[in-house]
Amino acid sequence: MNRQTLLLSVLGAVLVLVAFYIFLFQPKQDEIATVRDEIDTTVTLQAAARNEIQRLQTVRANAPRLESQITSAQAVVPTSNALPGTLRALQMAADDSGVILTSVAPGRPELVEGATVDGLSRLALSVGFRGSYFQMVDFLRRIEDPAITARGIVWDTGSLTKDEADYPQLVGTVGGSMFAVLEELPNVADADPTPAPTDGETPADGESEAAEEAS
Amino acid sequence: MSVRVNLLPAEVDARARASRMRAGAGLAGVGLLAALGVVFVWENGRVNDVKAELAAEEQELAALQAEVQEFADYAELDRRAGDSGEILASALASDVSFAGLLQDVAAVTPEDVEYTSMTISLTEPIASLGDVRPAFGELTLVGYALDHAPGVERLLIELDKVAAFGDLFFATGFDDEFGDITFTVTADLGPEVFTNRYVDGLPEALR
Repeated sequence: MNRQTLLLSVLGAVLVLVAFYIFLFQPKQDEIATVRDEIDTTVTLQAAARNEIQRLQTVRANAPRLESQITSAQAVVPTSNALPGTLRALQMAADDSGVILTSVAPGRPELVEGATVDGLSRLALSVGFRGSYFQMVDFLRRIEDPAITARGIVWDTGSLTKDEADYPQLVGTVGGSMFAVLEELPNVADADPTPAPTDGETPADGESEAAEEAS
Repeated sequence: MSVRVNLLPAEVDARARASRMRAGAGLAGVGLLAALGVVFVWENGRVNDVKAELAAEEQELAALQAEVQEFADYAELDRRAGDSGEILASALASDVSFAGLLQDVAAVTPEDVEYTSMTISLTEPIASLGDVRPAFGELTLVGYALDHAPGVERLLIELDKVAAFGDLFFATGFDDEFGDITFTVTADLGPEVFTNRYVDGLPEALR
Protein backbone atom coordinates (compact mmCIF):
# COMPACT_ATOMS: atom_id res chain seq x y z
CA MET A 1 0.00 0.00 0.00
CA ASN A 2 1.76 3.03 -1.21
CA ARG A 3 1.24 6.68 -0.39
CA GLN A 4 -1.18 7.15 -3.33
CA THR A 5 -3.45 4.40 -2.05
CA LEU A 6 -3.37 5.96 1.39
CA LEU A 7 -4.38 9.34 0.01
CA LEU A 8 -7.19 7.75 -1.98
CA SER A 9 -8.40 6.01 1.16
CA VAL A 10 -8.43 9.26 3.09
CA LEU A 11 -10.20 10.97 0.20
CA GLY A 12 -12.76 8.15 0.13
CA ALA A 13 -13.35 8.54 3.85
CA VAL A 14 -13.85 12.28 3.42
CA LEU A 15 -16.30 11.62 0.58
CA VAL A 16 -18.19 9.16 2.75
CA LEU A 17 -18.36 11.78 5.53
CA VAL A 18 -19.58 14.47 3.14
CA ALA A 19 -22.15 12.13 1.59
CA PHE A 20 -23.33 11.12 5.05
CA TYR A 21 -23.69 14.75 6.05
CA ILE A 22 -25.54 15.77 2.90
CA PHE A 23 -27.80 12.75 2.39
CA LEU A 24 -28.43 11.49 5.90
CA PHE A 25 -27.45 13.91 8.65
CA GLN A 26 -28.70 17.22 7.24
CA PRO A 27 -32.12 15.86 6.15
CA LYS A 28 -32.64 14.58 9.69
CA GLN A 29 -31.67 18.00 11.08
CA ASP A 30 -34.10 19.63 8.67
CA GLU A 31 -36.82 17.21 9.67
CA ILE A 32 -36.20 17.94 13.34
CA ALA A 33 -36.35 21.70 12.66
CA THR A 34 -39.59 21.29 10.72
CA VAL A 35 -41.19 19.24 13.48
CA ARG A 36 -39.98 21.77 16.08
CA ASP A 37 -41.65 24.54 14.06
CA GLU A 38 -44.83 22.49 13.98
CA ILE A 39 -44.58 22.03 17.76
CA ASP A 40 -44.17 25.79 18.21
CA THR A 41 -47.20 26.44 16.00
CA THR A 42 -49.21 23.85 17.89
CA VAL A 43 -48.22 25.36 21.24
CA THR A 44 -49.25 28.80 19.95
CA LEU A 45 -52.59 27.39 18.83
CA GLN A 46 -52.99 25.77 22.24
CA ALA A 47 -52.43 29.10 23.93
CA ALA A 48 -54.99 30.72 21.63
CA ALA A 49 -57.45 27.90 22.34
CA ARG A 50 -56.91 28.27 26.08
CA ASN A 51 -57.52 32.02 25.82
CA GLU A 52 -60.63 31.36 23.75
CA ILE A 53 -61.90 28.87 26.32
CA GLN A 54 -61.27 31.38 29.09
CA ARG A 55 -63.05 34.09 27.11
CA LEU A 56 -65.99 31.82 26.35
CA GLN A 57 -66.22 30.80 30.00
CA THR A 58 -66.61 34.50 30.78
CA VAL A 59 -69.23 34.75 28.03
CA ARG A 60 -71.05 31.77 29.57
CA ALA A 61 -70.97 33.44 32.97
CA ASN A 62 -72.43 36.61 31.43
CA ALA A 63 -74.84 34.85 29.08
CA PRO A 64 -78.05 36.09 30.73
CA ARG A 65 -76.80 39.67 30.63
CA LEU A 66 -75.71 39.33 26.98
CA GLU A 67 -79.06 37.81 26.00
CA SER A 68 -80.77 40.70 27.70
CA GLN A 69 -78.54 43.21 25.90
CA ILE A 70 -79.26 41.59 22.53
CA THR A 71 -82.99 41.76 23.24
CA SER A 72 -82.65 45.42 24.26
CA ALA A 73 -80.60 46.18 21.16
CA GLN A 74 -83.25 44.51 19.02
CA ALA A 75 -85.80 46.85 20.54
CA VAL A 76 -83.65 49.80 19.36
CA VAL A 77 -82.97 48.34 15.92
CA PRO A 78 -85.47 45.50 15.50
CA THR A 79 -85.31 42.57 13.11
CA SER A 80 -88.57 43.59 11.49
CA ASN A 81 -90.14 46.91 10.54
CA ALA A 82 -91.88 46.90 13.92
CA LEU A 83 -94.20 49.68 12.80
CA PRO A 84 -97.01 48.90 15.26
CA GLY A 85 -94.64 49.20 18.20
CA THR A 86 -93.21 52.43 16.85
CA LEU A 87 -96.67 53.87 16.32
CA ARG A 88 -97.62 52.87 19.86
CA ALA A 89 -94.46 54.52 21.24
CA LEU A 90 -95.15 57.75 19.34
CA GLN A 91 -98.74 57.83 20.50
CA MET A 92 -97.73 57.20 24.11
CA ALA A 93 -95.11 59.95 23.94
CA ALA A 94 -97.73 62.31 22.51
CA ASP A 95 -100.30 61.37 25.13
CA ASP A 96 -97.86 61.68 28.00
CA SER A 97 -96.51 65.04 26.84
CA GLY A 98 -99.85 66.50 25.83
CA VAL A 99 -99.13 67.12 22.17
CA ILE A 100 -101.51 66.01 19.46
CA LEU A 101 -99.99 63.65 16.97
CA THR A 102 -101.21 64.89 13.61
CA SER A 103 -99.36 62.67 11.17
CA VAL A 104 -96.97 59.75 11.02
CA ALA A 105 -95.48 58.66 7.71
CA PRO A 106 -92.92 55.87 7.66
CA GLY A 107 -91.13 55.08 4.42
CA ARG A 108 -90.38 51.69 3.02
CA PRO A 109 -87.09 50.09 4.10
CA GLU A 110 -84.01 50.74 2.02
CA LEU A 111 -80.71 48.97 2.49
CA VAL A 112 -78.05 51.13 4.13
CA GLU A 113 -75.14 51.32 1.71
CA GLY A 114 -71.79 50.30 3.11
CA ALA A 115 -73.28 48.88 6.29
CA THR A 116 -71.04 46.40 8.09
CA VAL A 117 -74.03 44.23 8.98
CA ASP A 118 -76.08 42.46 6.32
CA GLY A 119 -79.67 43.57 6.03
CA LEU A 120 -79.31 46.87 7.89
CA SER A 121 -82.12 48.96 6.44
CA ARG A 122 -83.27 52.52 6.88
CA LEU A 123 -86.91 53.53 7.12
CA ALA A 124 -87.63 57.21 6.64
CA LEU A 125 -90.03 58.63 9.19
CA SER A 126 -91.92 61.88 9.25
CA VAL A 127 -93.97 62.93 12.26
CA GLY A 128 -96.32 65.89 12.58
CA PHE A 129 -97.63 67.19 15.91
CA ARG A 130 -99.28 70.17 17.54
CA GLY A 131 -98.81 71.59 21.01
CA SER A 132 -97.03 74.21 23.06
CA TYR A 133 -93.27 74.69 22.85
CA PHE A 134 -92.46 72.83 26.04
CA GLN A 135 -94.97 70.09 25.30
CA MET A 136 -93.05 69.57 22.08
CA VAL A 137 -89.75 69.50 23.94
CA ASP A 138 -91.21 66.86 26.25
CA PHE A 139 -92.63 64.89 23.32
CA LEU A 140 -89.28 64.82 21.54
CA ARG A 141 -87.45 63.95 24.75
CA ARG A 142 -89.77 61.00 25.32
CA ILE A 143 -89.04 59.72 21.82
CA GLU A 144 -85.31 60.31 22.05
CA ASP A 145 -84.76 58.87 25.51
CA PRO A 146 -83.98 55.16 24.98
CA ALA A 147 -85.26 54.38 28.47
CA ILE A 148 -88.71 55.63 27.43
CA THR A 149 -88.86 54.83 23.72
CA ALA A 150 -86.51 52.01 22.89
CA ARG A 151 -86.80 52.29 19.09
CA GLY A 152 -83.85 54.30 17.84
CA ILE A 153 -84.92 57.23 15.69
CA VAL A 154 -82.41 59.67 14.23
CA TRP A 155 -83.89 63.04 13.35
CA ASP A 156 -82.35 65.09 10.58
CA THR A 157 -84.95 67.78 9.95
CA GLY A 158 -87.37 69.62 12.16
CA SER A 159 -89.50 72.70 12.02
CA LEU A 160 -91.80 74.53 14.41
CA THR A 161 -94.15 77.26 13.28
CA LYS A 162 -96.77 79.35 14.95
CA ASP A 163 -100.28 77.99 14.64
CA GLU A 164 -101.88 81.25 13.46
CA ALA A 165 -105.36 79.98 14.23
CA ASP A 166 -104.62 78.69 17.71
CA TYR A 167 -101.65 80.60 19.18
CA PRO A 168 -99.70 79.82 21.44
CA GLN A 169 -100.07 76.36 19.97
CA LEU A 170 -97.31 75.45 17.54
CA VAL A 171 -97.25 73.12 14.60
CA GLY A 172 -94.22 70.87 14.45
CA THR A 173 -92.83 68.36 12.03
CA VAL A 174 -89.72 66.24 12.39
CA GLY A 175 -88.20 63.93 9.83
CA GLY A 176 -85.55 61.32 10.20
CA SER A 177 -84.79 57.64 10.00
CA MET A 178 -85.29 54.53 11.99
CA PHE A 179 -83.49 51.29 11.32
CA ALA A 180 -84.15 47.58 11.12
CA VAL A 181 -82.07 44.52 10.32
CA LEU A 182 -84.13 42.70 7.73
CA GLU A 183 -83.24 39.29 6.38
CA GLU A 184 -85.02 40.11 3.17
CA LEU A 185 -86.26 43.42 1.84
CA PRO A 186 -89.87 43.37 0.66
CA ASN A 187 -90.37 43.68 -3.06
CA VAL A 188 -91.05 47.38 -3.44
CA ALA A 189 -90.98 47.52 -7.23
CA ASP A 190 -94.77 47.68 -7.47
CA ALA A 191 -95.35 49.51 -4.24
CA ASP A 192 -96.20 53.15 -3.81
CA PRO A 193 -92.92 54.81 -2.77
CA THR A 194 -94.65 57.70 -0.98
CA PRO A 195 -97.03 56.37 1.63
CA ALA A 196 -99.83 58.66 2.73
CA PRO A 197 -99.49 60.06 6.24
CA THR A 198 -101.66 58.38 8.80
CA ASP A 199 -103.79 60.36 11.18
CA GLY A 200 -101.97 60.31 14.46
CA GLU A 201 -105.13 60.59 16.48
CA THR A 202 -106.71 57.62 14.77
CA PRO A 203 -104.66 54.76 16.22
CA ALA A 204 -106.52 54.05 19.36
CA ASP A 205 -104.95 52.41 22.35
CA GLY A 206 -106.89 49.27 21.62
CA GLU A 207 -105.56 48.83 18.11
CA SER A 208 -104.98 45.14 17.92
CA GLU A 209 -101.68 45.10 16.06
CA ALA A 210 -100.13 47.73 18.28
CA ALA A 211 -101.42 46.03 21.36
CA GLU A 212 -99.91 42.74 20.26
CA GLU A 213 -96.57 44.42 19.62
CA ALA A 214 -96.64 46.21 22.95
CA SER A 215 -97.48 43.02 24.79
CA MET B 1 26.22 -9.27 22.60
CA SER B 2 24.15 -10.93 19.93
CA VAL B 3 23.31 -9.60 16.51
CA ARG B 4 19.91 -10.22 14.93
CA VAL B 5 20.07 -10.92 11.25
CA ASN B 6 16.94 -10.73 9.06
CA LEU B 7 17.22 -13.58 6.67
CA LEU B 8 13.80 -12.98 5.02
CA PRO B 9 13.78 -11.33 1.63
CA ALA B 10 12.83 -7.61 1.61
CA GLU B 11 9.65 -8.31 -0.49
CA VAL B 12 8.22 -10.51 2.25
CA ASP B 13 8.71 -7.72 4.77
CA ALA B 14 7.09 -5.18 2.44
CA ARG B 15 4.07 -7.44 1.81
CA ALA B 16 3.60 -7.91 5.53
CA ARG B 17 3.76 -4.18 6.11
CA ALA B 18 1.27 -3.53 3.28
CA SER B 19 -1.03 -6.18 4.66
CA ARG B 20 -0.97 -4.52 8.10
CA MET B 21 -1.68 -1.18 6.56
CA ARG B 22 -4.64 -2.58 4.57
CA ALA B 23 -5.97 -4.19 7.68
CA GLY B 24 -5.55 -0.90 9.55
CA ALA B 25 -7.25 1.05 6.79
CA GLY B 26 -10.08 -1.45 6.64
CA LEU B 27 -10.49 -1.30 10.37
CA ALA B 28 -10.52 2.49 10.23
CA GLY B 29 -13.16 2.37 7.48
CA VAL B 30 -15.31 -0.02 9.45
CA GLY B 31 -14.86 2.20 12.51
CA LEU B 32 -15.88 5.27 10.53
CA LEU B 33 -18.96 3.55 9.16
CA ALA B 34 -19.85 2.33 12.62
CA ALA B 35 -19.49 5.85 14.01
CA LEU B 36 -21.66 7.24 11.23
CA GLY B 37 -24.21 4.50 11.88
CA VAL B 38 -24.32 5.46 15.54
CA VAL B 39 -24.79 9.12 14.64
CA PHE B 40 -27.56 8.18 12.20
CA VAL B 41 -29.35 6.04 14.75
CA TRP B 42 -29.03 8.81 17.33
CA GLU B 43 -30.44 11.38 14.89
CA ASN B 44 -33.28 9.02 14.05
CA GLY B 45 -34.01 8.76 17.74
CA ARG B 46 -34.12 12.55 18.04
CA VAL B 47 -36.50 12.74 15.09
CA ASN B 48 -38.75 10.15 16.70
CA ASP B 49 -38.62 12.02 20.00
CA VAL B 50 -39.70 15.34 18.49
CA LYS B 51 -42.39 13.57 16.44
CA ALA B 52 -43.71 12.01 19.60
CA GLU B 53 -43.62 15.44 21.27
CA LEU B 54 -45.52 16.91 18.31
CA ALA B 55 -48.11 14.13 18.50
CA ALA B 56 -48.63 14.81 22.20
CA GLU B 57 -48.98 18.55 21.59
CA GLU B 58 -51.40 17.94 18.72
CA GLN B 59 -53.43 15.65 20.92
CA GLU B 60 -53.64 18.33 23.57
CA LEU B 61 -54.57 20.90 20.93
CA ALA B 62 -57.32 18.62 19.65
CA ALA B 63 -58.67 18.27 23.19
CA LEU B 64 -58.62 22.06 23.64
CA GLN B 65 -60.33 22.60 20.30
CA ALA B 66 -62.97 20.07 21.25
CA GLU B 67 -63.49 22.04 24.44
CA VAL B 68 -63.81 25.24 22.39
CA GLN B 69 -66.42 23.48 20.26
CA GLU B 70 -68.41 22.71 23.39
CA PHE B 71 -68.69 26.48 23.86
CA ALA B 72 -69.93 27.05 20.30
CA ASP B 73 -73.30 28.33 21.50
CA TYR B 74 -71.59 30.91 23.68
CA ALA B 75 -69.29 31.94 20.84
CA GLU B 76 -72.40 32.53 18.73
CA LEU B 77 -74.00 34.48 21.57
CA ASP B 78 -70.88 36.62 21.87
CA ARG B 79 -70.88 37.26 18.11
CA ARG B 80 -74.54 38.26 18.18
CA ALA B 81 -73.91 40.60 21.11
CA GLY B 82 -70.97 42.17 19.25
CA ASP B 83 -73.02 42.53 16.07
CA SER B 84 -75.92 44.14 17.89
CA GLY B 85 -73.60 46.70 19.47
CA GLU B 86 -71.98 47.39 16.11
CA ILE B 87 -75.38 47.88 14.47
CA LEU B 88 -76.39 50.46 17.06
CA ALA B 89 -73.06 52.26 16.89
CA SER B 90 -73.10 52.54 13.11
CA ALA B 91 -76.80 53.14 12.48
CA LEU B 92 -77.35 55.65 15.27
CA ALA B 93 -74.00 57.43 15.14
CA SER B 94 -75.66 60.66 14.02
CA ASP B 95 -78.20 60.68 16.85
CA VAL B 96 -79.07 64.28 17.73
CA SER B 97 -81.38 65.35 20.52
CA PHE B 98 -83.83 67.81 18.98
CA ALA B 99 -85.39 68.15 22.43
CA GLY B 100 -81.99 69.24 23.71
CA LEU B 101 -81.63 71.79 20.92
CA LEU B 102 -85.06 73.23 21.66
CA GLN B 103 -84.16 73.40 25.36
CA ASP B 104 -80.94 75.23 24.50
CA VAL B 105 -82.80 77.75 22.36
CA ALA B 106 -85.41 78.27 25.06
CA ALA B 107 -82.76 78.70 27.73
CA VAL B 108 -80.98 81.56 25.93
CA THR B 109 -83.89 83.36 24.28
CA PRO B 110 -84.32 86.90 25.68
CA GLU B 111 -87.78 87.87 26.93
CA ASP B 112 -88.29 90.55 24.29
CA VAL B 113 -87.88 88.11 21.42
CA GLU B 114 -90.63 86.00 19.89
CA TYR B 115 -90.18 83.33 17.26
CA THR B 116 -92.55 82.59 14.44
CA SER B 117 -90.67 79.61 13.10
CA MET B 118 -87.69 77.47 13.87
CA THR B 119 -86.03 75.06 11.47
CA ILE B 120 -83.34 72.49 12.15
CA SER B 121 -81.68 70.64 9.31
CA LEU B 122 -78.79 68.26 9.64
CA THR B 123 -76.46 67.54 6.76
CA GLU B 124 -73.21 65.79 6.02
CA PRO B 125 -70.30 67.76 7.54
CA ILE B 126 -69.66 71.03 5.75
CA ALA B 127 -66.46 73.01 6.32
CA SER B 128 -67.54 76.64 6.64
CA LEU B 129 -65.37 79.43 5.28
CA GLY B 130 -63.28 80.94 8.04
CA ASP B 131 -64.56 78.35 10.46
CA VAL B 132 -62.12 75.83 11.84
CA ARG B 133 -64.74 73.28 12.74
CA PRO B 134 -67.16 71.53 10.42
CA ALA B 135 -70.86 72.27 10.48
CA PHE B 136 -73.25 69.34 10.71
CA GLY B 137 -76.38 71.30 10.00
CA GLU B 138 -78.12 74.59 10.42
CA LEU B 139 -80.57 76.14 12.83
CA THR B 140 -82.78 78.90 11.45
CA LEU B 141 -84.84 81.12 13.74
CA VAL B 142 -87.38 83.57 12.37
CA GLY B 143 -89.21 85.96 14.66
CA TYR B 144 -89.78 89.41 16.08
CA ALA B 145 -87.83 91.64 18.45
CA LEU B 146 -88.70 95.02 19.86
CA ASP B 147 -85.61 96.61 18.35
CA HIS B 148 -82.21 95.84 16.81
CA ALA B 149 -80.35 96.46 20.05
CA PRO B 150 -80.67 95.17 22.61
CA GLY B 151 -83.38 92.88 21.05
CA VAL B 152 -81.64 91.05 18.18
CA GLU B 153 -78.20 91.93 19.55
CA ARG B 154 -78.89 90.15 22.83
CA LEU B 155 -80.36 87.17 21.04
CA LEU B 156 -77.12 86.78 19.03
CA ILE B 157 -74.98 87.14 22.14
CA GLU B 158 -77.04 84.58 24.04
CA LEU B 159 -77.15 82.09 21.16
CA ASP B 160 -73.38 82.34 20.86
CA LYS B 161 -73.09 81.03 24.42
CA VAL B 162 -74.45 77.64 23.33
CA ALA B 163 -71.49 75.44 22.42
CA ALA B 164 -73.39 73.63 19.67
CA PHE B 165 -74.22 76.86 17.80
CA GLY B 166 -71.56 78.59 15.77
CA ASP B 167 -71.02 80.93 12.85
CA LEU B 168 -74.12 83.04 13.70
CA PHE B 169 -75.57 85.24 10.97
CA PHE B 170 -78.69 87.32 10.77
CA ALA B 171 -80.88 89.50 8.59
CA THR B 172 -83.42 92.01 9.91
CA GLY B 173 -86.28 94.05 8.57
CA PHE B 174 -88.82 96.54 9.87
CA ASP B 175 -92.42 95.50 10.29
CA ASP B 176 -94.54 98.58 9.50
CA GLU B 177 -97.73 97.01 10.82
CA PHE B 178 -96.54 96.43 14.40
CA GLY B 179 -93.39 98.50 14.50
CA ASP B 180 -91.30 95.45 15.39
CA ILE B 181 -88.06 94.24 13.98
CA THR B 182 -88.35 90.99 12.08
CA PHE B 183 -85.25 88.83 12.04
CA THR B 184 -83.86 85.67 10.59
CA VAL B 185 -80.92 84.19 12.49
CA THR B 186 -78.97 81.19 11.27
CA ALA B 187 -76.44 79.17 13.23
CA ASP B 188 -74.24 76.29 12.17
CA LEU B 189 -74.64 73.18 14.27
CA GLY B 190 -71.31 71.90 15.55
CA PRO B 191 -70.28 68.40 16.61
CA GLU B 192 -71.69 69.07 20.11
CA VAL B 193 -75.19 68.36 18.79
CA PHE B 194 -74.50 64.63 18.64
CA THR B 195 -75.53 62.69 21.70
CA ASN B 196 -73.01 59.88 21.11
CA ARG B 197 -75.23 57.76 23.32
CA TYR B 198 -74.87 54.75 21.02
CA VAL B 199 -71.14 55.08 20.42
CA ASP B 200 -70.44 52.02 22.61
CA GLY B 201 -73.47 50.12 21.42
CA LEU B 202 -76.34 49.81 23.85
CA PRO B 203 -76.79 52.91 26.04
CA GLU B 204 -76.31 52.49 29.78
CA ALA B 205 -80.02 53.05 30.36
CA LEU B 206 -80.86 49.86 28.48
CA ARG B 207 -78.10 47.62 29.84
